[in-house]
Amino acid sequence: MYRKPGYDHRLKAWKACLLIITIIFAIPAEVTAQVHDVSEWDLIPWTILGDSTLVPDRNSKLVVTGKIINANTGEPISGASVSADFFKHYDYSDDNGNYLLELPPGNYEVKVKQMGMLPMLFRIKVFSNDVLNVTLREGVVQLTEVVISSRPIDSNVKQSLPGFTRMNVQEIKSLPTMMGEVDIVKSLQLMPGVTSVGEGSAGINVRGGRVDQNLVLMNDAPLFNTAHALGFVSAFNQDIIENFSLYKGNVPAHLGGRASSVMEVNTRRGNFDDWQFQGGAGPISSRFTVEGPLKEKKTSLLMAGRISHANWVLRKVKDPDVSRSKVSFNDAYIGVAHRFSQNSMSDLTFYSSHDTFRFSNRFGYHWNNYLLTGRWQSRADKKVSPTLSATYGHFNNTFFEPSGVEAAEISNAMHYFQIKETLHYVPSENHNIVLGASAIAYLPRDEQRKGYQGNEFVTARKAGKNNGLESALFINNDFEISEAISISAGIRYTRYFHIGPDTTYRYLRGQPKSISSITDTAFYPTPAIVKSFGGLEPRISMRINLRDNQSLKVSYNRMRQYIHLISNTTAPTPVDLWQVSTDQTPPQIADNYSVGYFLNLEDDRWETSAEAFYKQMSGLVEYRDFPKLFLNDHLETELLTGKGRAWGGELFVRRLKGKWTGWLSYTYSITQVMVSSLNEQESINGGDWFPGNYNKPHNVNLVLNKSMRRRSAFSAIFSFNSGRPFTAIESSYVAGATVIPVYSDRNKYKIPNYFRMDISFTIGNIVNRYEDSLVFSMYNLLGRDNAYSVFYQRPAPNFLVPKPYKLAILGTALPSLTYNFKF
Amino acid sequence: MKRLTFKIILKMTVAILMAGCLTRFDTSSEYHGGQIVISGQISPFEETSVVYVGRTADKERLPEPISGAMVTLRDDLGNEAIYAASGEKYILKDFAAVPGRTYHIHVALPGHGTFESIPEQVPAAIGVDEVNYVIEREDYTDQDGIVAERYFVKIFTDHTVHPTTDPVFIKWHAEEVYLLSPTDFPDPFGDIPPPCYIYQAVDPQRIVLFTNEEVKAPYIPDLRIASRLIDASFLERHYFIVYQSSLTREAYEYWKKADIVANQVGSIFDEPPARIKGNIFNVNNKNEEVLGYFQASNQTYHRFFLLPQDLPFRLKLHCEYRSDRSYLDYPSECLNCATARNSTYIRPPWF
Repeated sequence: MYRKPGYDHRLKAWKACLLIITIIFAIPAEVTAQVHDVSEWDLIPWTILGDSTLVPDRNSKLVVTGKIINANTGEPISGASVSADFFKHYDYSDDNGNYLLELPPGNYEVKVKQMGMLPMLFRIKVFSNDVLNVTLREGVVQLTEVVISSRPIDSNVKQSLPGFTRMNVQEIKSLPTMMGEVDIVKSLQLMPGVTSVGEGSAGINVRGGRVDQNLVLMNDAPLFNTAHALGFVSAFNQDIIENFSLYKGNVPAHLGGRASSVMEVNTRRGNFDDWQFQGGAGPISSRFTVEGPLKEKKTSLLMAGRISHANWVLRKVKDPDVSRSKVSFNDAYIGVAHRFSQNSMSDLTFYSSHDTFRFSNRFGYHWNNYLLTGRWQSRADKKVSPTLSATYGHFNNTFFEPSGVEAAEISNAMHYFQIKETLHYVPSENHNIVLGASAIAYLPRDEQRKGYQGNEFVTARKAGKNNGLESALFINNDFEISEAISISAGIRYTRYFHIGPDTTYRYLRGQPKSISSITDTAFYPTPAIVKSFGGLEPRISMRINLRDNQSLKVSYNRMRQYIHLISNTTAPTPVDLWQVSTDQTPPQIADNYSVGYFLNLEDDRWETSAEAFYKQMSGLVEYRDFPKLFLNDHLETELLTGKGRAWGGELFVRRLKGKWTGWLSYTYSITQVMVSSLNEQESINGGDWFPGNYNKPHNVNLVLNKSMRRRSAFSAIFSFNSGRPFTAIESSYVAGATVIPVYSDRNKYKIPNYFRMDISFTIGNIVNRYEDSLVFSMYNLLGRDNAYSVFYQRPAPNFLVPKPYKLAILGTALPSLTYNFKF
Repeated sequence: MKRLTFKIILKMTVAILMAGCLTRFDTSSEYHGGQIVISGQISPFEETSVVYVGRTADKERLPEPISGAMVTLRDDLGNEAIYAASGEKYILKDFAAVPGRTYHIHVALPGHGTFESIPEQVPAAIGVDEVNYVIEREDYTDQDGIVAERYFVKIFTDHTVHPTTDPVFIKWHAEEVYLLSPTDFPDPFGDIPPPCYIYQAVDPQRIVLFTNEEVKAPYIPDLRIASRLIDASFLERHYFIVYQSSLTREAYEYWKKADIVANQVGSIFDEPPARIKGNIFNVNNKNEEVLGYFQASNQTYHRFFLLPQDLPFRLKLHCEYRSDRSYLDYPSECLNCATARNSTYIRPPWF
C-alpha cells in the first residue's frame, strides 16, 4: 500500500502525548499555494460595472454595493472585509451581508475576505453605480500564512470601537481546554481586561465590572446562566456558534441593559443545501449536531444537543461524599431559518440548558434555562434593513437539602419577554446608522420553599418578587469624517418601571433599614407603577488614523442596569437570585472611559495595542454581614448600596501570520467599592474604599499556536494572575467552648498568585473521508494546586485556634481526549 | 540553530515544571488583637455561672485574660450578684436563674471602661431529649495532616419538639468527664497517687442548632451532637453530658453566625465571613467593638458513660507502670495528672 512520506498523525493518544514536544519542533507547517496567488492574478478577468458607454466625471464617486453570501448555506456573511486597492477604499459587510463602497470611476482590484472562507479577488472597472454580489465558499485554506480571525485582519487599527473583541469557534478550537470542552467564555478570559473570580467560577469580569454587569446575548436575547457544572463548562455548544463578540470599551447604543460590557453570541443557521452531521465525544460530555434543508434553498434546520456523562469521574474519587455525588448537564438547540426572498429572512430558535448537582446527601441544586427567539430580517432597499426580534426567556433554579426532617428545597424562577426592532440605515458610504427601540419585561415567580420530595415537616413559604419593565430608544451612527477620522456616536434613552403588584415599605429616615424601622406600608396593584428610573446613555468613540497602520481611539459611554444579581458568595452560583430595581434598590449606573493606541506591523503580521480605562459606578449592590437573602420579604434590609471605581491598562501583542501564531496580553486593573453611610451599620469597612471580590491587579496570558499539516495543531497557554482578595482571621476568642474567629475588614488580604500552563495537540484527518480530529489536552500541565480560596480550619481536634488552608479546585494535571467529527 | 532552540526550550520547560512544584502559602495577615472579650452564661441550674473577661491576642493565640474586673449580674427586679475572680475567670457559685426573668451583666474594667450585656430573658424549659451513641470508624486527620481511619464515639439525640406555637430556639453541646489515673510508681509506702478528673467540651466547633420556625416535625431523630476520637481517655469510666439549651432569638442568631465563621470549607457556596456582633457594649462608647455574648438560657441535660469493655477493641495502657520504661518516657499527665488541661482532683458527686 502506498503511503505518503512524512509523519503519520493517526497516532494513539498516549504516543501523541509523549511526542508533543518533539513533534512541534520537528514538523514544519505545510506550504501550499494560495487560492489566488500572484501567478493567477493576471488571469482574473475584468468585471465591468455600470454602463461603459457613459463617460463619468473623474471626480465623482460611484456606489458599488452588494451582498456577500455563503455559497454553502446561502447565508449572508457579516464582518467580511471588502477592500479596493489594498484598503484605500474598504467596508465590512453588515449583519445582512451588505456592503457599500464609494469609488471614483476607474479600475480596481477588490479583495473579499472572511475567516473560514476562501478569499475572492476581483478586478473591476467602475463606470456607474452598480451591484456586485459575492459568493464565498467555505473552506479552510492552507496558506503559507494562515490567519484565523473572525474579523478583518486590519480591524485592530481600522475598527472604530476600542475594546472590541470578536472571535469564532474556529479560532479557539485548538486551544487547550478543561476536560476537552471548547469554552468561549474561558477563551475570552485570555484576552486583556477579562478575568473571573477563579477556576471553576461562572461568568466574566470585564474591566473591573461585576459578573452581572456583563450582558450575555444569544441571538439578541439575554441569557441568565452561561455555565454548566458550577462554571467548569460553558453552556454554549461549540457546534452551534457562528461567532461571539465582547464589547468591553465602547458599547454601541443598540446594546444595553448592563453597566459594564456586552457579550454577543450568534448561532449558525443550518445548511440550506445539504444535510450535514457533526459532533464529538469527550471525557465528560458528548454532542451531536444535525443540519440541513427542510426545503432546499428556502428553509433550513439546525439541531444540536449535548449531554454530560461526568459521574464516572466522581465515582473514581475515594472520598465517599464525592463518590456519592452527582453532576449532570445537558443543552439543546433547535434553529429553523426560512428565506422568504433574497432580501427577507426569518429565524426561530429554541435553546435550553439544564444542570443538576448533588453533593452526597448534603445539598444540591438544579437549574433550567429556556430561550425562544423569533427574528425577522429584511432589506427594504439597498440602504435600509430592519430587524425585528421577539424573545421569551425562562430561568429557574432550585437549591435543596435532601436529607433529614428538615429536607427542603427553595426555588426561584424568572420569566422575561423581550421585543426589539432595529433599523440599519446606510444613507451613504460614510454613514452607518442603527436606530430602534426595545422593551423587556422581567416577571419573576414567587420564591418558594417546600419540603423536599414531599417532606411534610417543612413549613411551606413564599416570598413575593418584584416585576420590572425596561424600555429603550436608541440611535447610533458610525460615520467617517475623513479617511483619517471616524466616529461612532450614539445615544440610548432608557426608562425603567418597577410595576405592581407589590408591597413596599418606608423606613425610618436615619435608621438602618430593618423590620423594626418600617414606618409605612403601601400596596400597589397590577399594573401600577411603583417607581420609575431612566435617563440618557451617551455612547461615543472616535478613531484617528495616525498612519495607515496605526490609530488612536478614545471612547466614553454611560450604561444603566436595572437588574442585579444577588449573590453573597465569592463567585456567582447557579442558585443566586436576580432582583430588578425597586424603590429601594436603585439602578446601577456606570461611566466608562477608555483610550487606546493600536498599531499593526509587518503588513498586519503583528497586531498590538495599548489601552487604558477608567470606570466609575453607582448603585452597586453590596451586603450586610450575614445577610438573609432567601425568602426575605424585606430584601432591602439586607442590601447596601455602594459606589465603585475601576481603572487599569491593557497591553496586547498578537501574531496573526507565521508558523507560530498567538498572543500575549497583560492587564493591570484595580477595582474598588465604597459603601458609606452616616449609620455605621450600613457602612462597610468604616466607609472606606475596599477591593472588589475579583480585584486581581496583574493578569498575564500567553497563547501559542502552531498549525501543522493535515489539519493538526499544537497550542499552549500560560496564564498568571494576582491572587484575589479575601477576608482573613486576625484573632480569635472562646464563647462557651467554641473558638470564634475574629475576621478582618472585608477583602483586606489576598490569596496566593495563580499560574497555570495548558497544552493541547490536535491531530486532524483521523479518518480521511471525514473532517475529523482528535484533540489531546492537558489542563494545568504543571499540576499546580492554585488556590481558589483560603479558609480556616483547626488542623486537628486538639487544636483550638484555626489555621489557614487553601482550597485548590484542581491540584493536578487534567488530561483529556476528545474526538470531533463532521461529515 | 534549530537544535539549539530545542535545547533551550526543553531546559525552560523542565525549569517551569520544577518551579511548579514549589508552592508556598502564607496568609500574611497582621496582628490585630486588643479587643475586649466578655462571654458567659446563666441558666436555671443551680450551678456555677462563669464569665470570661479578656482581650484578643493575634490569630495564633487565644485571648489573654484580664484581671481586676468587677463583674455583677443584675436582673429586672434590681437584684444583684457579684462574681468572684477565679483563675482566669469570674465565677458565681450556686446561682440559679429564674425562667421568665431578665438578666444582664455589668463589667467594670479599670482602664478599659464599663461594659454591659443587652438583657436577656431566660426562656421557658423545653422537652428532654433521648440521647444515644454509636461507635464507628471514620477518617481522622492528625495535626501533621495524615489521614487514617480511627474509631469514634458519635453522640446523637432524638429531639421531641415541644408542642408550642411560640418560636423555640435550641442549641446542643456536649461535655465529657473522665478519670485519669497517674502512673503508680513503686514506692516503699505503697502510696497510690490520687486520680484526676478531666472536664472538657467535646467537639466544640460543631454547633448544633434547631428552631421550629421552619420545621413543623414533632420529632427530630438522629441529630449528631458530637464526635469523640477514642483514645487513652477511655481506659477508665468516661462520662458524656449532652446539654440542650433553650436560647433567645438573639442568642440563636449569634450562634448561627458563629457556625458560619467557624465552619468554612472554602467552597463556592461559603457565605463570606465577617466579625460577629455579640450583645456586649461599652456603656460610655457605643461605637467600640466588644466581642462575646452573655446568654441567659434554660437547660436540660442527659448523662451517660462508657466503660472500656463497651469498646470494640482493647486500648493500649497509657500510664501503666512498666519496669522497662524510663521515667522520662511517661507523658507528663501520667507523672502528674494535675498538669493535664482542665483537670481537677475534685470528684463529681455523680461520678
